Amino acid sequence: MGRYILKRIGYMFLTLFIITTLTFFLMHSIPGDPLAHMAKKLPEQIRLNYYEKYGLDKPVIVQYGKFLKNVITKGDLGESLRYPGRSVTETILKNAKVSGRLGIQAIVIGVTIGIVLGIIAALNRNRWPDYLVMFIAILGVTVPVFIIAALLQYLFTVRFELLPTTGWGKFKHTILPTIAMCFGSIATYARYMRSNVLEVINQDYILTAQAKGVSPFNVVRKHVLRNAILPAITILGPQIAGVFTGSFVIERIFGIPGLGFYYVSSISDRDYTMIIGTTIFYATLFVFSQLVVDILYGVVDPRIRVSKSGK
Amino acid sequence: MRFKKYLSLTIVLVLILTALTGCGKKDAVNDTGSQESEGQVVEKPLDSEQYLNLVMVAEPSTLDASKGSDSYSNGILNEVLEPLTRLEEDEDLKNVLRPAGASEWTHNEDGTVWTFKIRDAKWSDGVAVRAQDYEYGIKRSLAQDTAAPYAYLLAPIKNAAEVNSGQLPLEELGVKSLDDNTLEITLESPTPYFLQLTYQRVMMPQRQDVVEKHKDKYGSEIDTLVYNGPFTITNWVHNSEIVLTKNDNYWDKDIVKLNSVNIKILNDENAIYNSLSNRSIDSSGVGKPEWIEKFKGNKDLNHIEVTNPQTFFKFFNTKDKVFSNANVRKAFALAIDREELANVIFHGINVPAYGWVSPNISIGDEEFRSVSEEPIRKLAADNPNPKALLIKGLEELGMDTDPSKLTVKMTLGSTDQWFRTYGEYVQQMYNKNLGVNFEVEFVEWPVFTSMAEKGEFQIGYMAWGAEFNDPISLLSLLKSDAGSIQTGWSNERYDELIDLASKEMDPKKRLEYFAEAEKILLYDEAVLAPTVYPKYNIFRYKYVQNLGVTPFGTAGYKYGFTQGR
Repeated sequence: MGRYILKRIGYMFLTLFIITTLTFFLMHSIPGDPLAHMAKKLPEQIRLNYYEKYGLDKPVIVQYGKFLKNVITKGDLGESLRYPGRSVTETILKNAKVSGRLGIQAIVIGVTIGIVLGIIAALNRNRWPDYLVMFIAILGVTVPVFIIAALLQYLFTVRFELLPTTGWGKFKHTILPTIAMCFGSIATYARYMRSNVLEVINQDYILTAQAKGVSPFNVVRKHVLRNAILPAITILGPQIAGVFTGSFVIERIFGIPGLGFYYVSSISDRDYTMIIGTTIFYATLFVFSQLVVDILYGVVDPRIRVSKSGK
Repeated sequence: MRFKKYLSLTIVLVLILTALTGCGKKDAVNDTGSQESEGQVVEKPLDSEQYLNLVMVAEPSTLDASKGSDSYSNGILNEVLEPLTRLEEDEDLKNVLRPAGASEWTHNEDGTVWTFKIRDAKWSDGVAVRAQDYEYGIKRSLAQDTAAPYAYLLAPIKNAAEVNSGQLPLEELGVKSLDDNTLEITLESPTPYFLQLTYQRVMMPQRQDVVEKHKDKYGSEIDTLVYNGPFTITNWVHNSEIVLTKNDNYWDKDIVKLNSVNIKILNDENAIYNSLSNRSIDSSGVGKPEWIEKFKGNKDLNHIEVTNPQTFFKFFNTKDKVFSNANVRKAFALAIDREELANVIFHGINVPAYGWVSPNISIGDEEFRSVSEEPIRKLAADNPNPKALLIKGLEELGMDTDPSKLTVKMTLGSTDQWFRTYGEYVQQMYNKNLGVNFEVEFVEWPVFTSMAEKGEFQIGYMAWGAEFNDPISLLSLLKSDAGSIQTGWSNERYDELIDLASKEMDPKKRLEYFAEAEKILLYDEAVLAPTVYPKYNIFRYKYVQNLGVTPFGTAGYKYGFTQGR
C-alpha cells in the first residue's frame, strides 16, 4: 500500500507539471494581453513600460523559466496583473476559504440528503416516495443552478424578506447559496444511491442476512449501504476538489467573494499569473482528491484492499 | 470609459456602474419624479442616520492612483482622495470646476505655467497635506517603472513623454512644489483643457512615505492607504463590499453629511434588481428593458436618464475601392434610420447619434452639443435621397451604376447573439434603402482588430468614449497620425484644426475649429457614421438626495444625504 501511494504521488507531480506547462504556453498563445481590458489602443510607450515592468517583453520560454523558478524555490505564484499589488497565492487561499466553507456545507448536506433519499426511493421502489424522490432528482439534474438560485433569491429576499439578498460574513448569508448548491448533489446522489441499492438488494447475501433474522435496519446499514455507497465515492472525489474552487454562478448571484470568479475572469482579463495560479490550485486539488478516493476505496471495499496487498 | 467590444454587454455594465460612481447626467433629463419629490421633501428633516447602500458591478482593480484604469477604482478614488479640483455640478446639472485640494490657482499669460495654492488640510493619519504630495503623485504616475496605464493623459506637462520613456530623469518633469503650499506645473505648450486633467487619478496626491513603505502592495488593501478625501475606507472585502466612512480630517468635513456608504460589489443583474426591489440598495443603473418598465411603475423611485459621453459608430475603410469615394460613404452614412435603430435594436434606451462628439462634453462653460449642430442632420437635409448619392459615387468611380450589382461587406467584431441580430437588421436596412447586396461577417474581437489594422474590411463597427471632458478627446482620434480608428483617412485641414484647437486658449475660437473639423469628418468626407449615443437609466429611491450624476463629474457622494428614508 505504501509503495502504491508513493508511486501515485510521483504520477501526481508529473501530471501537475504537464498541466502547468501546457497551460502556460496555451494562455500566452491566445490573442490579447493584460492591457486588453482597457479595450483601447494605448500609446506605444505605455505598453512598453507595462511589458517591461511585468516581464512580458521577454520571450515566453524565458518567462516560463522565471515562473517555474519562483514557484519551485519560493512557492511564489507572482502578482496579479489585473489587480496590481495582490499576490496570487494570497488571493487564492483567501478566496478558497470562502468557497470552501460554502462548498463543504453544500456537499455535506447534499450528500447526506441525497444518500438518504436514494435509499428511501430504492426501498420503496415504484411507490410514491420513489416517484417523489425521482421527480426531485430529475428537477435537480435538469434545472440549471442559476435558475434555482435566482428563484430562491426572489422568493426569500424579495417576495418574503426573510434573508439577506446578497453578501457574505454571517451564517444567514450562506443559507440560500448552500441550498442552491446542494440541489445538484442531492439529485445526483439520490439517483446513484437508488440504482446501487436496487442492485445490492437483490444479491444473495442480503437474502442470507434476512434469513438469519437480521433486523431490516441493520440489513440496510451493514449490508446494503456499505456495498451501495462505493460508486458514490467515485463521484465524490472531483466534487471535493470543486469545493474549494467555488461556483462562478452561485458566487455571482449571491455576491460571495469566492474563488469561482477568478477562474472565469482571469481568462477574459488575460491575467496570466492568476490563470496559471488558479489552474495549479485546481489541478493539485483534483489529482490529490483522486488519490484520496483511491485510498478510500481500499478502506470501504475489502476486495480492493486484499488484491493490493496481495501484489 | 472606452469600449469597443461586446457593446450590448458594455451598455448594461455602464448603466449599472454609473449608479455607483454617482456619475451620470441628466442630459435630456426625464426626471419626472424629482420635481415633485423636491416639493415634498423640503418639509422633511434630514434623516438622523445618514448612510447609503449602493452597488458597483466590478471589483476596483487597485486604489493605487497611479496604477489601474478602471472606472470602478476611479469612482472610489474620487471619494477618498482630494484632487486639486473637483468637477461639480450646479442646479441645472451643468459641470462646474471648483477648487478642492487647491484653494485657488493662477496661470501665466500664455497658459504654460500654472500655480496651485494647496489648501491646509490633514491626511486621515493626521499628517499635513503638502504640495509635495501632489508633486509626488504626478511624478510617480509618470515614472517609467510605475508603468501607469493612464500616464499618457499627462502628456501636456513639460517633458512628460521624455520622462515616461526614461530619456530624462524625473527631476526634469515640469512639476515642482515651491513650498509646502504651492505647486507649480509647467506645460509643454498652452493646453486649454489642462484643468480637466487636474481631477484625474494620475494627478491625485500620494504620500511618499506610505508608498515607499508598501511598494508594489500600495493600494491593494486598506492597510496600505491613507486618505485626504471626504471619506475613508473602513472595510474592503475584495469582490464583495467596500465601506466608506466619513473622514473627520477632511478639510470640508462640515459639508459631508453621509456617515457611511456601503458599496456592494455585485455583477449579476437579477441580484442587483432584486436588491433594489427590496431596498437593500438605494440606487442602481438598470439595463434590461423589462426591468426599466417595472421600476418606472414604482412610485418610490426617481428615474434619471443619462446620456453617456460615448458614440457607437460604423467606420469606412477609405483605402477600399468603393469606399474611397466620399459620395458612396455619405450614402452609407445616411441610409440608416437612426431613430428606428435606437428604438428597435436598443429598445429605445439609446439616443440616435448625428454627430461624432457625444453629448455631455463641455467646451469652456458650454456643452458642446448644445452649441454645435450635429453635422449628419444637415447632411440628411441636403441629401434626401441616399441612393442618388450612391449612384453618383459609383459613376465617379467609373463603376457599374446599378446598386443591385454592388456587394458590400460589414465586419463585426463579435459573434454573440446581439451582434447577429444587429447585423441582420443593418443588412435589411441597406437592402431596402440602397438596394445593394449587403453581407455581414462576424469574427472574434481580436481577429477584428487585426483585420482592421491590415485594412482588410469595408465597413467596421465600434464604440469610443471621451477620456476627459473636452471635444478634443474624441476629435483627435481621427488625426492622421492617431491610428486609433483604422479608416486609412487623412486630411491636412482636419489635422491643422485639431492642432490649432489643442493650443488655443479662447473657447470661442476652439468651438469654431471643432465645428469645422466635425463638419469635414462627417459632412464633407463621411468617414464615420455615428449611430447612437448610449444612455443609461438610473433608478434611485426618492429619499436619496444630491448625489453627483454627470458622467465626468467627480462630486460623488460628498454632498449626498437622505431625507425621509
